[in-house]
Amino acid sequence: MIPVTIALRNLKIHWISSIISIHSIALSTTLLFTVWLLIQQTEKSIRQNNGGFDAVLGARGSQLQLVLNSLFHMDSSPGTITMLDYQQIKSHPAVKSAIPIAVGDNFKGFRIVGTNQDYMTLHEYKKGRKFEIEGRVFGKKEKEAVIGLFVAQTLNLKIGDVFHPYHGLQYQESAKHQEQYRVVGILKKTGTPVDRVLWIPLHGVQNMEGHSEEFAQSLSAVLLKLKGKAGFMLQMMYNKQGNKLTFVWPTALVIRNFFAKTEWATLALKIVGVLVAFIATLSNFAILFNSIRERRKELAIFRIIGANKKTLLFSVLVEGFIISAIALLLSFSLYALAAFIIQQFLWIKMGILIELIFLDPLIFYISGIVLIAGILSSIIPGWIAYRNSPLHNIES
Amino acid sequence: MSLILEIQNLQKQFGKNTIVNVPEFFLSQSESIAIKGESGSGKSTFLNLCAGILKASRGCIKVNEIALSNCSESERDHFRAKNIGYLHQQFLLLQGFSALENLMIAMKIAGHVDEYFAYKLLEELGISHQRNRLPKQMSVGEKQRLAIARALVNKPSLLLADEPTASLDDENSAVSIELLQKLSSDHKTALLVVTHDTNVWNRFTTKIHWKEINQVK
Repeated sequence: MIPVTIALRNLKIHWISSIISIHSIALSTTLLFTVWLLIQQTEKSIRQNNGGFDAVLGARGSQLQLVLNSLFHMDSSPGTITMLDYQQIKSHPAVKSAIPIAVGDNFKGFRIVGTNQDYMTLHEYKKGRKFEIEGRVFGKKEKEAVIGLFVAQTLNLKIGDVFHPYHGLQYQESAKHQEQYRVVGILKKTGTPVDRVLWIPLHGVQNMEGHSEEFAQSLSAVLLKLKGKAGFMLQMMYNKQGNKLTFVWPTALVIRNFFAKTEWATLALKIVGVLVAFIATLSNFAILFNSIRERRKELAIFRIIGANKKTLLFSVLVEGFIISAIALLLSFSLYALAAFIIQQFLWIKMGILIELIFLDPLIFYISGIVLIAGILSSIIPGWIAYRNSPLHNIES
Repeated sequence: MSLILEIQNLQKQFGKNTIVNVPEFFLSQSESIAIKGESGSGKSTFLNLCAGILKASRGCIKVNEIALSNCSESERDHFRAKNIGYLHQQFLLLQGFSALENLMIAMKIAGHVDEYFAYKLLEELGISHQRNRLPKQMSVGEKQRLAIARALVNKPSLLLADEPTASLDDENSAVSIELLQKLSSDHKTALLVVTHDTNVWNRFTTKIHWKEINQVK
């Protein structure tokens, strides 16, 4: 207990340097947690967010653009496909289900997407989970809408409310369509981009006032669930042999490839995180080292009144450990805050609700490394305390 | 009366220089002895050998019949904490600890904490009202009393004082030596004081010249 008493008292006496050490270690540890864990969780959540579909069929163009547009409801559509294309893929024996979507309008910045009733009632957006609707699904040819929960909460829309669609994907007051749609259902929270969409019948988007006649017979994409391992065959058929359409399979691969392109940025962040942690450890070492040099007389007094060398060595090691332990506790709080902010940011901006994990083995590994680094950084100062000559330092 | 300190053929060398050469020296329970000598003649080294802070080059030092010369450094530290009080001219107080805490930490190191006794000791020395103050907030006289209290707090059988009045004026010096003698007598502690101050030396009934016991030529 004496090393703990000495360590705690020293932390109190040198409270400014103690606080600097604690905060520098806490911030660097938070950075490590964030870079290693939060980015991974975010990537994982985005990669796994395929909306329950194996593949997407769309116009010839960028696969990433097609996936972002049709599954994440971001970016613009690479083009349109015909209803005939839809009928062909729907009737293909390798296709289990095909959901058509048509994009082209918005309401106050939120996308209006046309689709069929099957998507709302039969589709499983996650294994074993269908959409739950408060109210009912829209009629096939009615001017009705089922809206995502995020839209309902943000725009304060309730069942029975009506809205006018606006042309295009960007909100412009001058681009108002005359049709009115009535909200007949609100989707319960899915934690996916679906929550950020106003869903109306396919017929509605295709035949919206001001849309071209050609648009009435076209779709933005078809979302597909496949039977068995048919993806490769369909990929060959559309991407290699044909030149009109793009078949994306598996969708997760496209997202993975996208993140692979940003791996260097993640790596750079990881390197920065490790460097910052290293510098924080060095700074802790420097602060302890200077503190021990300043305290040589005090250490000598402890020796004179009977404290042995090991007690003084342990007091410095305990001090390093306490600094790291407090810093670690602080970093948990900061990490929780950072995780919450990032979670909310992704939810608001992308409609993706990432699952926050606090009991990942990585947390324990990083925590262990931080505690060990705290003790290691106090070994040399501790050794100086151990070797401190009581008489020499009293005379000096 | 039992012997508290027994010294036989004690020698301490630094390199080839012999600083201390004491063939024989004894101190009994409750006895008080003052040793006077020139500065730099090895008195403090002798005291540090008796305290077990330094290890003898040759000879035997026994405190309470324990041969310190045969003990490891760690054993000597532990023994000193429990059995030897050490008073230094610089007071050697822990600046980050209050008056009472200076006593408590010494007790903790010795392995027996008695806060009531620590408080009573401060009261006996007239500084209990300063118990929560840091040494830097106390006067020189109060610091000296606190140093005396800490030296006695573990009820040592031997109290060693190295120029205990060197930092004090004449008035404080006289009061301090009186207190030191009274408390060591009350607590049945053997007292060994080394000094070059004739006024201090004259206050002791048993007085020795350092050159009488130290045989260094």
